[in-house]
Amino acid sequence: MRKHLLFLLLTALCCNGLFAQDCEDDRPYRIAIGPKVGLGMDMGSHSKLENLDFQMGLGYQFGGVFHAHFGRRSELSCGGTGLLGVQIEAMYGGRSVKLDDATLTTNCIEVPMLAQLYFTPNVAMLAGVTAVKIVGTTPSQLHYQGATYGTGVIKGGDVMITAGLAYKTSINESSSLMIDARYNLGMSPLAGNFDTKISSMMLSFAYLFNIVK
Amino acid sequence: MCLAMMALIMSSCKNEDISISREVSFEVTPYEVINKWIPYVLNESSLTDLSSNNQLRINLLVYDRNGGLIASDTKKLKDYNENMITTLELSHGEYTVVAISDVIENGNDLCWTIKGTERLSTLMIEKISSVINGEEAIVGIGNAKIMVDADHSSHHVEMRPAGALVIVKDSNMKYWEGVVSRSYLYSTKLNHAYTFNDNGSYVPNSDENLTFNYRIHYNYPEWMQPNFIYWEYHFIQPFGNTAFQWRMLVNNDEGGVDEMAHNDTYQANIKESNVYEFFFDWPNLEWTLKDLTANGKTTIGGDCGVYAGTKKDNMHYSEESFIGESLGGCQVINKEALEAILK
Repeated sequence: MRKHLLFLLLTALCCNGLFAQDCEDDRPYRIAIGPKVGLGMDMGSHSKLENLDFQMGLGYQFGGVFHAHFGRRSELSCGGTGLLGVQIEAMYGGRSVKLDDATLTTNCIEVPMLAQLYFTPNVAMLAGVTAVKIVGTTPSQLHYQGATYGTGVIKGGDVMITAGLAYKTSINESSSLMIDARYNLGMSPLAGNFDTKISSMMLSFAYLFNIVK
Repeated sequence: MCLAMMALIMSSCKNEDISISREVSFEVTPYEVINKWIPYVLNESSLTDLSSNNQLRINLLVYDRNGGLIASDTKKLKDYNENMITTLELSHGEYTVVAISDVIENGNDLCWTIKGTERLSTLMIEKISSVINGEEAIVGIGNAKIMVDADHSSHHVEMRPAGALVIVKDSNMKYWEGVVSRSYLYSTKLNHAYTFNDNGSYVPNSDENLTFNYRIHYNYPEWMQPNFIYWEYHFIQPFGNTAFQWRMLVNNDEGGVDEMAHNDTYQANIKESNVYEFFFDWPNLEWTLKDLTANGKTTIGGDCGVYAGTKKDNMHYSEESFIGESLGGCQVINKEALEAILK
């Protein structure tokens, strides 16, 4: 019985939007914007130069999202239900990693630029890059095992590789909810002589208002 | 879009360096300053131990690539058996470390003062005492180029003597009591100052001239016991071509004294860490200079006559004050004259 209920739920999630809808116009795309918040875990890679091993810390982000969904799933489907979409976000967030009792937090502006492949009408695979600009780091000095790191001057950037899954469901005719889980792979060391790269796993919620449908 | 993403990834940021400093531990071992000399002295403690008022001062100075002082510490140790262990906060990078040991008295400078520490190019150890200081004048120096990073946060600075040990032996000086009131050993060069080059190595400085102006030892016959060999230790900087002369004050008939010089002068290249023995055979008025650390205890060539010409002009005493004339070769001059006074 439980298996049947689960199957019905998954079928409903995947097939939402698959059926003929009462479309307002015949545009083959749908554009939406909205606020977004996320929580996640951040990881620091092993520093070979400093021989440091970081532990995971908590991260957060909030901001806005621009979402465009192209094409039609079928001839009867409305525009903006096809296979492809793009998503660009402007987020502010904090990422933190830990060294025993010390926590290193980088506050940054993130701009994910993602392509979406909707393999069902509601579930998409995300892939792209996330441009990161660090605007501040705390603490200004990180003390660990006799060493003092002047972390306050870390104000560089990164271009992370991002991949994940998104689920989007309509709430009403003009809005929808999107949930995504993604992994951001850090590519740039925090500093030239501090070779730790920050990666993160985020679970985000976006409330999208259709502005073109 | 893919191309744009690839371009973004490929241009992934090269972020600037941050300051990284760490607590760097240093161990300075001054025992090596006197260690090589111990087999040549009567009692080890005469070198290793200091008198109760004295302490061994270790200055540890850390200079950056530009020769500016970055960090320093000073410790006062009981004697040469103690080590200096300290921790300094240093940023990652390459440094020149200089460690200096000298003996101080009641916490104050005794023979030497250290100045100009703010830059390696101005660092100087300057002699401040004109008196003969024996073992108290020993200066030890250690220098090293070090790297400070995550893998190099502790360093050992090995010290060495910044000069040579001189052992002066006055044998049966009592023999001439009443005739010789005082004895001196002079050299043409003497401890004056040390300066340092870019890699932290020391450079000995002397007010060099050809006169025997620098007194490195003196003694009194009346202090001695009969048939007794008196040992005394001194420290001299490693100078090349240093000449030595033995002089004495001899009582004259007028109740005064005449300053007289032995006809033998010795010349040596004084080398760091070596031990030189000056042996004065007082009854026979003969003396020798040996390098005890050289194979076979090399006698350093007496080259009497080399300075004969300068004696008259620069010794600041008249030719008449000499007892007798040179007998040719390196011999004691006019022992008979002294014996006549003795009778």
